[in-house]
Amino acid sequence: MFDPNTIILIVDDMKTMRMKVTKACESLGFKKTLQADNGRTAWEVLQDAKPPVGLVLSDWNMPDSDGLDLLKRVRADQRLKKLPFILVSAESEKAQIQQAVSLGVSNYILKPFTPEMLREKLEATYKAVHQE
Amino acid sequence: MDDKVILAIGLDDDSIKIVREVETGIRHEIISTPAEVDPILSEEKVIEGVILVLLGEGIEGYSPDELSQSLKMTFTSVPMAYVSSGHETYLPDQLKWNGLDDSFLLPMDGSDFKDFMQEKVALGTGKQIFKAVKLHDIQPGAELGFDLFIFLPANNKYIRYVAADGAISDEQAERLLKHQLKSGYVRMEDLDKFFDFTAEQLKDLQKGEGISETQRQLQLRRSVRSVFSRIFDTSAKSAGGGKKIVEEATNIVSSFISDSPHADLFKKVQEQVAGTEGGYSHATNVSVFAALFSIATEIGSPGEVAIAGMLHDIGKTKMPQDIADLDESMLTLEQEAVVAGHPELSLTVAREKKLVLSESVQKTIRQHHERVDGTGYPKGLKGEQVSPMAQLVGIADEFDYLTRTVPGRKILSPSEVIQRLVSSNKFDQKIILPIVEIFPMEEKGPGGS
Repeated sequence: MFDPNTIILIVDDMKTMRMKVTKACESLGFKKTLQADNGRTAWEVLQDAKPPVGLVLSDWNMPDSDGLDLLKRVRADQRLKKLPFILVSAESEKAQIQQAVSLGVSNYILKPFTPEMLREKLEATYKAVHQE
Repeated sequence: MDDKVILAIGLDDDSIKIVREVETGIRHEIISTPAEVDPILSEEKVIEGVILVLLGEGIEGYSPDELSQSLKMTFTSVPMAYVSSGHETYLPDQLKWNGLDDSFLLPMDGSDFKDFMQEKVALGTGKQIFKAVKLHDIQPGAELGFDLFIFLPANNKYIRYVAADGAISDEQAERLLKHQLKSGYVRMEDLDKFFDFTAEQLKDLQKGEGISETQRQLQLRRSVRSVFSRIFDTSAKSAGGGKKIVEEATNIVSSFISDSPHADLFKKVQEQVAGTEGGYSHATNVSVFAALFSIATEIGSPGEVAIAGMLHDIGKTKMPQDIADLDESMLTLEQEAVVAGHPELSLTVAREKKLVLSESVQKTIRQHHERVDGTGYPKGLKGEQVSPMAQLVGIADEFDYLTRTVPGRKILSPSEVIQRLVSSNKFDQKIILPIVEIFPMEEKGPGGS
């Protein structure tokens, strides 16, 4: 499982959802989270954060720059290309998961989710990332 | 029940009034301002015992979309519905993906909404709930497989009339008829068994052992009629879509075709189409109506018309949205040409979804807008060139369209609709006249045509 000191970047255009996801991460013992309200501001955070972000939890559907845009940028960047990246998606986006997989997403989680469901996804992602 | 609560968040005044009118015995907590909702969203305020969340058009600073997503994260396993009396702002399609159980436009969906609230409250409080079922054609000696209850209004009680492992006796059947008790009740968890029982009855009727052909056809049509009467029991179909009211009929049809070779494909098609439909399930309605017509008239294969019915308009998803949404009577010539392509486009979409359709299903989809008088499309086929199954789907298509509630248009009853279709001469009399028998003419009022 990810170390509790892993810095998690939570990306969602809705303030309440950022808060909910932050709370879910905190309940799993993660000590530090950062927030961004779209792909563009998330990218800036990824460039500047010190210590660096260790995991991205990004909503899919956001105005301006969405989760998929952010994923593409992250995977194209030499420094960030192996960063664990989980997309938070709605039921309607399930059919497009294939597209996200081809772009290199580490995992996805459907909302709404409980902290327990998030834990399972994080464990699976950690395992997958460390097998590579 | 004191510790249970219904949470109503961001509802408009008209919706709140309707919510309060539904008798549930449960306390309501009405949340209307940011100051009231913030502590709930941040979980500073924990409300125990919430058994139902009703979400309205939003609260200042929070859209319905944001509220529904956040509330679903807080109340993950609590049923949640979107409720609105603002038809201009009502957007169930956008919200349905946020984990909502249902959506209601009030007051049109009032009856469905009341059923929904009472059902969810009963589930949340552990109270037993009963569903009314039509008792036509429950013959003496029939083994039900479920407990059948009757309701005694004088005592305000449900009592068990026939046990699951028993059969209706001659006396019981006679008594039900004598007292004109057309509705029995089953426990909600036994509904599936009732659907299976109804489907088995329909299959037995089709076999028609020991009775004349005329008698068999009469009973078949009467049985299908009782299924339809459940659909049209509530006054006019709701603007919200009315998908709940064909749920029973869909279950009966699914059960009917469950042991046919078409069952797996039908299930797959249902799953595929569910992704493309909005709140109003035209495809489901056409599928179910056509299958019921097929069962009642013994024309075509119910499984195949059910599949063709689900897919008949899926090609419209490939059309420009502004043309697909237009009423066919309002199309320009150029737009008509685009729409005329949708039957073939439906087959293209089915291929893309890797749905393997038989020749007869493909023909049914291709021809569902052809009419025997040559006025249909795309080819203007005539007479016997139009396959019987295509006509069943065509009739079901028009039937759904004409029985829908449309502002400004007079609501037509099912029998009025069928009579209209008979006199249009667009369908073969051999096919449409048996369908007429499913819907007996009602008494005409002074304003009748």
